[in-house]
Amino acid sequence: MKVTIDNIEHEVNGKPTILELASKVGVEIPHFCYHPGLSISGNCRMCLVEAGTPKMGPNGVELDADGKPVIMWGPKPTTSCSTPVSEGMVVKTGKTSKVIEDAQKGVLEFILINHPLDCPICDQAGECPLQENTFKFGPEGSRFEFEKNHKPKRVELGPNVMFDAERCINCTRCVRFSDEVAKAPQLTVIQRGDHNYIATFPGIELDNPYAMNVIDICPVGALTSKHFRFKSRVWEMSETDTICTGCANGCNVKMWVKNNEILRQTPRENQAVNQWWMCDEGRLGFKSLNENRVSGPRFKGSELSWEAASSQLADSLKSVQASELAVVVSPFATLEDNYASIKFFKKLGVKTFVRYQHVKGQDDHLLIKADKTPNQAALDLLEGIAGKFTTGEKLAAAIESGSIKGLVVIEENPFGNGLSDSLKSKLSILVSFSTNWDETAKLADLVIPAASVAETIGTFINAKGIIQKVRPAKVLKLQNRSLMRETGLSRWDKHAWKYDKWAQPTHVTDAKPTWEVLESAASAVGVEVSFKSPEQIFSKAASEIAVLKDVTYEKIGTAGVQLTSSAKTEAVLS
Amino acid sequence: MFSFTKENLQRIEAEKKKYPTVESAVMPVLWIAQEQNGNWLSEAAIKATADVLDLSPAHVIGVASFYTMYNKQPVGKYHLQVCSNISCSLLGAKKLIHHLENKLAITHGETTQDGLYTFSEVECLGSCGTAPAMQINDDYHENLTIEKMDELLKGLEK
Repeated sequence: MKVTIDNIEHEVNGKPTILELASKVGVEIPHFCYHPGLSISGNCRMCLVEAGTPKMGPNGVELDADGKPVIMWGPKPTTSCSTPVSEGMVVKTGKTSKVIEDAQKGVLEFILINHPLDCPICDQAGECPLQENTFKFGPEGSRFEFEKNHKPKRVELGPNVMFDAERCINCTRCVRFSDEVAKAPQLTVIQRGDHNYIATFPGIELDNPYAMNVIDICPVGALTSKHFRFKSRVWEMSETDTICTGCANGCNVKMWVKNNEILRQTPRENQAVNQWWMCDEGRLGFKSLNENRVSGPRFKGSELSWEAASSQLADSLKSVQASELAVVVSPFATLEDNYASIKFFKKLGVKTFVRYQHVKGQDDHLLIKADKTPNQAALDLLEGIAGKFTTGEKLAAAIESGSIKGLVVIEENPFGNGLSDSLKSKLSILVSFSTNWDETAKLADLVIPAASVAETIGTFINAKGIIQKVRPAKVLKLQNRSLMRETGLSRWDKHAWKYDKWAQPTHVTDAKPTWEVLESAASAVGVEVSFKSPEQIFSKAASEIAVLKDVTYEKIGTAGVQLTSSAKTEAVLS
Repeated sequence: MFSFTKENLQRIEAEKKKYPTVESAVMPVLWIAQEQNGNWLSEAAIKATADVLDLSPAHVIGVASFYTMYNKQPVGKYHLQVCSNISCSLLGAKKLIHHLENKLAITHGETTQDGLYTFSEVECLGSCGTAPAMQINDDYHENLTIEKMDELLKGLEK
């Protein structure tokens, strides 16, 4: 099928709508109510185009004097979001049609009649489709000189979402999202005409597990996050493409950072993983990456330098027999950290590697997985190298019986997951590589602060067997943001100089990736390992694990790679 | 609490059968609910409508709030709805409205203290040929004058 948009002919497969085809071939048609993940509503009227089809005569398509098909134009502009293309269709957007250019101006003038235009204090400014489309396609001014409608402001729709009815343009994206995607029909449009706005039934809250997605899809600042309101202008933050590590789904996200503090997480489109969405629990999970962090190594409560910490680590490890040492690996840590730890302690002679499960509830219809860990599948692969993992219960029994005297915990929290505090006294040495001050870090003799998923590079394998990469959104102490290749930069990061107040690093954690600490202690312990970078560790792991053979960081990119067989594939030892 | 009577539940079943989807039955069922609830829709009545149709209460309140003929506030025993659209206004509807407001000491949307009358100024009642018109509960009263209106109200007091 051939369809012409703005005088350029396109070959079309299937039966897309005009708007779908246009976005595929890179023709911009402004829109508000259309969202690729939702049903078509056609209420905002912003995506108007002129469309015509070839005139059919008794002998097929009628041709004009030049031998070109005669086009029967529609009597008036049509909404491109709800009009499917057909053979020989000719479409004119605002770029080539004065009628459409004027229609778009008219539509925007109407939409803006009751819009408060409070962009200077609106959270959405800078990422607002209404603002952008008004700049691109809008009228020069308004002819409306009366008082605007007044509607409820600062309405708490639910525990996380705030609503400003005056800013709302009634596109109903949020209503359709709740009905169709979240399957929790809590929202509706009430009242009529220019008095209408979004509301819940009295006494019912917008509290479904996906409620905050309505904030992302809201094309204006009507729906805002209670956790992010007035925290930052969007252009002051850097955005880093990474993944959520709240459960085994591994939703693709952007982490938004200002002053080295994560202020919000928003979903990033990945059709294979999370489409356009993410759950509220994951979205708000960034708080543990900012707060309660272990900063600076400590031994029995007193702070150490990093040099002292690595020699202390070596001393501690040498103080017990390798056969009496157990290592807790982590489904929360990167594949690289786990691989490096397993390699390191394997060479030291350790036989016991422990893995904890964190299963809570059940998988839901959309994204939430019962497995609350992001990387259990990577541990499945590493089991081939580590040998069969021991369970937490067996570890507890072994400590009780005295066959395990030393415990090294890699970014896990056994004492918060069933290991009794009283067993600590049976351990002659407890080393914990910890991101946060959890139960284990508080009990440990030697605490090594570990870089969190927001500060490190590494890979995670989700429940579907898709391998994805985290990128550092925050920097660690002594790291320079602009020198970190994979870290997102804000305008401030790019243009400030070191005496500007916003260039002074705040919220900086003194931590290191676990692999780096192990490497620094290796010679003192007498273990021969060479860990240079996450990428180098990954390529080592890939050379040992069959399913990772052809996978590289470059291939993983920002979208991830589906591993050839299920995540439970047998790892092959080299 | 509001719950449908047995007879009304039967009427609702009959309404549901008329349409291919339950969404279409929302309006007649809301009407039944309003009837049963003393000519207005409480939140409980809207919730009961949603429950009986297996729809979300949000959807049903969206429909109920769209239409002004569903009363979302309690109304008096007699709901006086005077048309103020063009034909009625040309023939003196405004005078009738002022008269009624003065007489009952209430304005649009209000109910008298004794709970007897609610007055609403409404859009076209479709009775332009016999304007000005007023609807009292379900009945039309046409070709009104101030005298006729007084007489009507007198009749109601009994």
